[in-house]
Amino acid sequence: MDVLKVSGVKIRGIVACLPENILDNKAECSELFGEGVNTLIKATGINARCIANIGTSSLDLGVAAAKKLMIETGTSPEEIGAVICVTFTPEYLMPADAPAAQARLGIPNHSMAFDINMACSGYGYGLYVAAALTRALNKKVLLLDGDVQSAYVSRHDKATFPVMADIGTATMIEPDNTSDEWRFSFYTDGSRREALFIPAGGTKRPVQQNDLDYKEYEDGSKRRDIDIYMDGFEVFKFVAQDVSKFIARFMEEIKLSSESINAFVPHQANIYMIEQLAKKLKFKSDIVWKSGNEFGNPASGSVPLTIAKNAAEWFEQGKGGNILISGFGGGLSISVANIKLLSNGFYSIIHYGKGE
Amino acid sequence: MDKFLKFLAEIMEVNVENLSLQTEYQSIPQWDSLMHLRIVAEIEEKYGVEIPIDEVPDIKTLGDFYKYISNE
Repeated sequence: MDVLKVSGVKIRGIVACLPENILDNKAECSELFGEGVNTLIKATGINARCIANIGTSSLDLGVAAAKKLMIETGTSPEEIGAVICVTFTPEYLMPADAPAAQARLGIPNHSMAFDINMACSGYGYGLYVAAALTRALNKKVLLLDGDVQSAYVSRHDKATFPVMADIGTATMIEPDNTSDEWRFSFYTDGSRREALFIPAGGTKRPVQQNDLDYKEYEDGSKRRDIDIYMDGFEVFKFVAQDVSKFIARFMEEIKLSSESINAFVPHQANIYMIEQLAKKLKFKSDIVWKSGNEFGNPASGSVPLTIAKNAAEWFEQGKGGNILISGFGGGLSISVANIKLLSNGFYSIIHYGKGE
Repeated sequence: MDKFLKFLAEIMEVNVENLSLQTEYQSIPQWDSLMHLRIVAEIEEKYGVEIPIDEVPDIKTLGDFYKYISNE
């Protein structure tokens, strides 16, 4: 196992921007699941999902979050040396979202701006690259992580519809020579990529007319080939077996005990899965941060969203910021990191289009 | 065992005559991946047992579930 280390950086703040709609999951899924909707909600623990209006992009949400973050942290655009967007749902297939973020936020033209397409594991990748760039540039780096998955989710699909959601987030990484070392590790199994993918629309299978038709499947689900397909069982198996083992190995490698961690911030796959994962890793339930019960699973943005939701109150209670974050999913891939959150950072959630 | 199958039939909304301990995952349309998690959660709650997450994907039949409660 390779452990990548970065020191001399800190997170100045994280803002998550919720899209326009917070939908009651039971009401939304009752048509698809009939009377089984109660046990569905119980098993997933997802009571509501945040969903964007058609035409609102993850970049819109991320830029709104970044504006709030820049105001609250007193960051001027000139101080930012690079912008990274972690997303698999950009506004256009080409060009990337990050150049548009640079323009919308007034970040200087001589800045680097690029996207990372990694689905649910993406925040760890983005944070590592952003931290390394912060060191290289000795400047602030803005990391936008978010997806509007609803554009690619069939409302008739039993695997994806009850869990998937939308979000935009912004994280500001800054140089700080006094900060603690961050440690990262990554895991990839591309042989299983078709367990979670969008079949049509890429160069392997350019969109044809019939890809826009809904096809019916054995479980009663209906979706188009331009929608996200998830083999729920394969993905669950990956989380239950590969992810839990990989995180345990990472902790062993960096000599981190479950008692020495202040908080565990997993990707919000669904509440049942993260609770079981935490149990397997011997984390006490009160240090597992959640947001999926209120907002659903918005892909990689779920980790910064969960930090934005929980951190301020956590620090108000005088608790520590030595945290373990992990994202896992599409690829299939895993990111895991042990980082330090600062109690004087800015952490907040805003609502898109509500004057913030 | 009959009570156990009746309990699962209610969760899956199928006729209990269609279920046995040999019934396999996905052999009936109601038992998909989300249902798999629902069954785990319902069994854990009703019988007060713990089914470790890394063992859940290896459960292939209703009999595999039954082992967790018959050991209690």
